[in-house]
Amino acid sequence: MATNGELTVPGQAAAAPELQLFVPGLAPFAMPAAEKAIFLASRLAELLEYHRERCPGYARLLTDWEQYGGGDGDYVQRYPFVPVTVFKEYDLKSVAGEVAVVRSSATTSTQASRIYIDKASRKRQSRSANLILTDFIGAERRPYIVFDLEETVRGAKAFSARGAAILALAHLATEFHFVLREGRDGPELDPDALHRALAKIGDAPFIAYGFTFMLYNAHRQMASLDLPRAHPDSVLLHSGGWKKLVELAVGKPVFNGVVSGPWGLRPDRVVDFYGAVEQIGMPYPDCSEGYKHVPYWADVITRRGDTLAPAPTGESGLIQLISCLPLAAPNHSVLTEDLGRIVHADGCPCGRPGKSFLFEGRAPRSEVRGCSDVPRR
Amino acid sequence: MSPAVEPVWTPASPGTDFAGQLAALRSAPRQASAGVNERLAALHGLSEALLSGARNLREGLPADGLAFLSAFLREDNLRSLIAREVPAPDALSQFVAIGPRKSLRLLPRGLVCHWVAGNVPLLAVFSWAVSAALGNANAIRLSSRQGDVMSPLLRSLAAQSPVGRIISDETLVVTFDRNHTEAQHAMSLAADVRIAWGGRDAVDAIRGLPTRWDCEDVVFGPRMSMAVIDPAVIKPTAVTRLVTDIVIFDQLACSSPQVVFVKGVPDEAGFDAFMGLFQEAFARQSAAFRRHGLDFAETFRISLDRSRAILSGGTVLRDGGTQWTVAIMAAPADGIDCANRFVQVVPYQSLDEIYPFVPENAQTCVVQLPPQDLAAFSEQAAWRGVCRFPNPGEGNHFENPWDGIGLVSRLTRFVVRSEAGR
Repeated sequence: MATNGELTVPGQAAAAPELQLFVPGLAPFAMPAAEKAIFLASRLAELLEYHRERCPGYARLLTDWEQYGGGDGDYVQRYPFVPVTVFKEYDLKSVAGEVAVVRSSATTSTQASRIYIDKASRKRQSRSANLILTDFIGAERRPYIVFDLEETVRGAKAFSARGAAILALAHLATEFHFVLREGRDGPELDPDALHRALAKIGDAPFIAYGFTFMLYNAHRQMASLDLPRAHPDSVLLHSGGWKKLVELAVGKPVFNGVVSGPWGLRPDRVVDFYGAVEQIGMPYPDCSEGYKHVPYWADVITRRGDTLAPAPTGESGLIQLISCLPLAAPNHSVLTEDLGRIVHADGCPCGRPGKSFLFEGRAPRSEVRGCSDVPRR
Repeated sequence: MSPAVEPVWTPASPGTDFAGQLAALRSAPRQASAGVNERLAALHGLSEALLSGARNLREGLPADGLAFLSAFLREDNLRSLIAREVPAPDALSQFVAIGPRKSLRLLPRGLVCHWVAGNVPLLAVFSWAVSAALGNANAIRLSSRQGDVMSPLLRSLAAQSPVGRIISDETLVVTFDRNHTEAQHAMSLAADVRIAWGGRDAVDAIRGLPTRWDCEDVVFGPRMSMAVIDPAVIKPTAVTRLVTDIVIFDQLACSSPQVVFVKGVPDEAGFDAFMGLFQEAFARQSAAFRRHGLDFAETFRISLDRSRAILSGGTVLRDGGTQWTVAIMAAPADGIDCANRFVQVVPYQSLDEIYPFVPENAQTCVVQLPPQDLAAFSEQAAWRGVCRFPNPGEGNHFENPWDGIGLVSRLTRFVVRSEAGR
């Protein structure tokens, strides 16, 4: 394992260049903190220069950052970040020519983010998601029930946030079963498709995934269906915003009960994972304690309101997501509008070493509004 | 009335609940209570007390606004504000001849209700002082987000003189949630004049409340402000005063400059020398004046707007944290939120370049220009919407008229009399 900041890691020589980031045989959360700090610093420094050379806009942001500094803290805490909204308004790209564009869900923002992804980044994202999810739900491939429309992963729609999230689990799937259909008010449960899927799956364990609100709606409809009990090793994953559920006063315990109920599964077989379209390939599933963990090729920093200084453990702050995956655009370190807090610097009872954090939702809109708060007209 | 109406300052009026207190205030006889001269003298006494630095008066008042408030309450200042608008100020005390056959008398309208914005707490004091000087009773709803700026002043006023006691007894200060419909309706229905300070949502909500058909509305609503500076005629001390106009109130006041047009071009000696002074003053004044604690959304916005300025081709000058930002832009960028000490500087060579960027909802344009340029610019910019052209350092000085509105006229009833036998 590399512990001295060298970029060439023994044992990685045979890996494709785009995958040399990952240390063979090392679990995503197993790298000790001191080694991780060196590992991350060297790769992030390399990534910074990589994007500086290829993306003029990012180079200008770096000039500003280097002139005024990124505050106090260690290398990663001082590492420059790009506010996520920038990706909605500016084309930041580090590769020439045709590359894929992933757009954020239109339901969560008025303007969609445009995140460029090249082939190398896609491979890294796929490997990253594979390693992380395997650590949580095992490496065994299983039938995959998708609580979405099949066209969400077809053609251009595959490059939506929903499409990308569905495909992030593809490596764990032996077969796909899409069980929603287009209804009058949007996607709705297709009972026939669900029964066909269950007939084929039988009593084998499966994985299932859906956007949080869609999964909830479908399972509300499923409560009236006579479904067989699922294999207890089955797992239901979901991601996406809680805004609509909060409006319905549905919290996580109720949600988990509604979704696990029709299957006869324990509520802890429903796993929420946090992610951002700007950081595809970086799912952050809840561990058994309800916290999220950070693999060795990534970091999460929470930043204080008022100063943007790193928040100490236990204090809520804006979430900065860092990963070494992106090569097509400088979205490797982004400041989100989400709130979270670091729960453990180390020692989560779930057994995973290193930092664990809690996602606390979107930062509320500013309360301080004055008589100057008006567009020029 | 719901207990959610929290009394901040309750005069010795017979009302037992909020609606009752408002009714008592409105109906109290004021004919012989105190004349305008006595009232101005009492407010002057309050000004003196502020100057003397009585500790109990400083509680709840922002230190940076204390000196200005003291100057505002001085008798000569208030007389000057009245005289700007009323040709015969003695008419506030008696009928005064305004021509060969007519006399004029100005009387208070009655109960003036003030809805104060949370961002600039001193606004309550300004509109209250003018209204009280003119003999009106006042009900003030403070924002639940702001401190109590009124009680220390009213307590001091009441202790100073019998007229001070009268004014404080004619003042009711409360706070209640903006969604407290019952309280909002009660206050609006009792008002002879409604004064609404604040952003669009706030003033729209107040204007939508039921009211008397003859109620006068004074709306100090959402507006934006700017500055136009010729480096050839501005002194370093005035640069500091200009920066103070921007920094104070964290640019949340409608009079806070958001864009500064500076004559010249970057890399030219005059422009660069000005920017050196400006940047230095910005850092200095940002440290000198305490800023409110930014919430997460505001902090994120500063980081985002810095990125926007850079990616739009601008040059950003800033501190290492989130305290202040100067973005030099080729043209004002609408998407950039100029708040919390974030200002855009736009170079110009001819005043004609500025006019397209003067919005119709402009309020204040701080100016430091050669006389000929000032005359030409103010005429053109006034037609486009600007209401004030103060010097650097006076940008946020509340004065009459404000927002193009003469306050004395709105707070008084004009009575005319034909002279008998003439």
